[in-house]
Amino acid sequence: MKNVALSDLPPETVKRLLSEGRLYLHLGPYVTALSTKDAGVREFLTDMYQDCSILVGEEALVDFSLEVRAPNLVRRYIRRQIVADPGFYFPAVPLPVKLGPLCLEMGMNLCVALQSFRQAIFHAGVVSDQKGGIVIAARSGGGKSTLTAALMEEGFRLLSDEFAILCAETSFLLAYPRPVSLKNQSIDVVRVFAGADQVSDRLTGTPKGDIAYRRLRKSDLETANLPAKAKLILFPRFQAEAAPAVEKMDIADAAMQLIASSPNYQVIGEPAFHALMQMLDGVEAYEITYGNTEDSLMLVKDLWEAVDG
Amino acid sequence: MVVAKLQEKDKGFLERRRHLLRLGAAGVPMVLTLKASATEPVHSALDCAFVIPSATNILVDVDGKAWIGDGDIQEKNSGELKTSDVTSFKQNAEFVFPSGSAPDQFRPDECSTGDDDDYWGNDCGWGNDYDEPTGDNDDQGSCQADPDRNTPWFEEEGEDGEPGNRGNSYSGSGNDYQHGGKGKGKGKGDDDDGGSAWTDCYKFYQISSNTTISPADYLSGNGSWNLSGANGLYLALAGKYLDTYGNDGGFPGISCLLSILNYLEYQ
Amino acid sequence: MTVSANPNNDHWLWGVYTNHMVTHSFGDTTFVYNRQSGTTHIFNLVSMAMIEFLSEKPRSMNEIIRDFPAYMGVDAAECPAGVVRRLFGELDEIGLLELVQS
Repeated sequence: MKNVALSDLPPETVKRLLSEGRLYLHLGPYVTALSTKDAGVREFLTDMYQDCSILVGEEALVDFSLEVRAPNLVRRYIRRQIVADPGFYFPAVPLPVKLGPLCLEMGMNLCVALQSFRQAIFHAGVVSDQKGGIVIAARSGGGKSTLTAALMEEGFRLLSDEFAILCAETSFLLAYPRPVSLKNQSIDVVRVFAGADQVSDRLTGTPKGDIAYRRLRKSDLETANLPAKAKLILFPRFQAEAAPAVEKMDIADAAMQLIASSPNYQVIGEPAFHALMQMLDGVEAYEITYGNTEDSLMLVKDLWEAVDG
Repeated sequence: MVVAKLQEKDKGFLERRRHLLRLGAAGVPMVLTLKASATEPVHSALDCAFVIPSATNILVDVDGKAWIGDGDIQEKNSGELKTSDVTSFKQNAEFVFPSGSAPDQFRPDECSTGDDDDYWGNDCGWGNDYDEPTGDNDDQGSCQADPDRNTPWFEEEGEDGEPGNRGNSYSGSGNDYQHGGKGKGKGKGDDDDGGSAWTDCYKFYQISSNTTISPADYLSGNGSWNLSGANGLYLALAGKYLDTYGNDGGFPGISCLLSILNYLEYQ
Repeated sequence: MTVSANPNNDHWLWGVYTNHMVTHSFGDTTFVYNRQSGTTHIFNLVSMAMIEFLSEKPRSMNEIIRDFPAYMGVDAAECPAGVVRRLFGELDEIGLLELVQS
């Protein structure tokens, strides 16, 4: 097996590998065998994941297998629909075929959330610099992805927009950089500070409103093998017109919220407990409230400056 | 658990405990149990399946030693296998499992044509090790012992081979077409074709490419395993692999199987 | 034998399955991982004190009611029997109490 960038593979090779279910995407700690015959999904993949590493060879050892396909033969041709099939049953409404990219991304999330058995997964974005990592916990409408994308522009490296992947042995956070999922108003916000060319086309009419993806950066992929030690945990709260505010949180409260956000904490069991407790020993946690991205950046920068390197 | 003494505490500490006692008297629980969003994932884990991407073949000898590879072996209608193909398959196998790995029902019934291990080498039990140029003629000495098991519930004999070895009641014919794949071969063959060109000391199982295996299909309602067919054999060997090496990649489907074993562990 | 329904008999001594527990404290809060159930619990200073109290040596229910207040450094009025019994029940419900002698 050898590694090549996706963009180095001829389009017909990508098409063939995808149709055979042998496009082995190697991202961070996971290898995913991708399979699809959908041209829209293929186009999205070759664009957004162009710098990603692909394992090339007859067969690879993979962590996940994901097929993005029509739910049945009829729906392959009539009022075309598409579903993500991660190899196990998971209730999901088929989407119109134009939302194939969303299916792909949701399917990849599903694989990590429910099929990772070596790392504890928490629902959070993670960025880092040489000091360590910032975990941005997910709250509905909290602005996790917007803040994550904004911090990328401030020189932080992206580990993951969706998952804090905690190595059970080391308690370090592992990188799994993927395109950052942006919803509704945050799409335009990120277009402004990251540049329009860094954001994908907008998918409209999804179950979550409009969705677009902030493009993966080559630098984040090149450093994806570097773990990060968590130093700061943020629980963002976006409120329109709200004055910026910071409140220190009890670490025990942070632990409770993180555990509640984990899809596999109970499956991993004691190693997850140890890893989480060890990670939390060295961090501070804050709830930040803000009304716009500038305020959130200001708050995070202030908190980060106070963190010991 | 390290139990720390709490006797030497400051006044604030005692006051906080008093406050909690007052809350207790008011009916506030003193223990909180975290409800991680685990139930659904656990069940989804149980539902997991994995795909064997390319054709995978398994050779089993009378002692339950098993080889997994992609080579083919010619087989007579009587179930006897061509010895040269067997040799080649064993030499090119991707995974080799020690004696006792394949459960009884997957092994040949008997070995009337004799095992030519002294000729083929590399088997524990008979003959010199082909791969050991300094061969010492000490059959067992040249045979690497089974690695230690970390899992205390592993039983070395009898129930060996089923995934995780905790259900302990599996059954099956070794040839279950419903579960995909096919079991070839039978124990007793004739020697009409003469010499050692053909052998009945092995059974050969084939799993075709893109076969999906859902381990939960082999699990009964009470958590015991019913392993049958080539796919069942694959699961049995995957369980062996897991016991020996843990979830250390390398063996397709191992994470899926582990999720189910974890699930059973928590029941 | 059902033991948790009526634990008041003086011949029954209660201890703690310390080997089932992994603990980690953040200030006054202790996270307890129960190896047997795979569940994580959060203990406060009172519930943790009960665990430590019963870890010292197994005790009968009457001894627990009588001696726990002093262990806590409060008088019996501040730590009434009803609170102790309820706390005992909470710990038993999550599978951490062990009947060590009958």
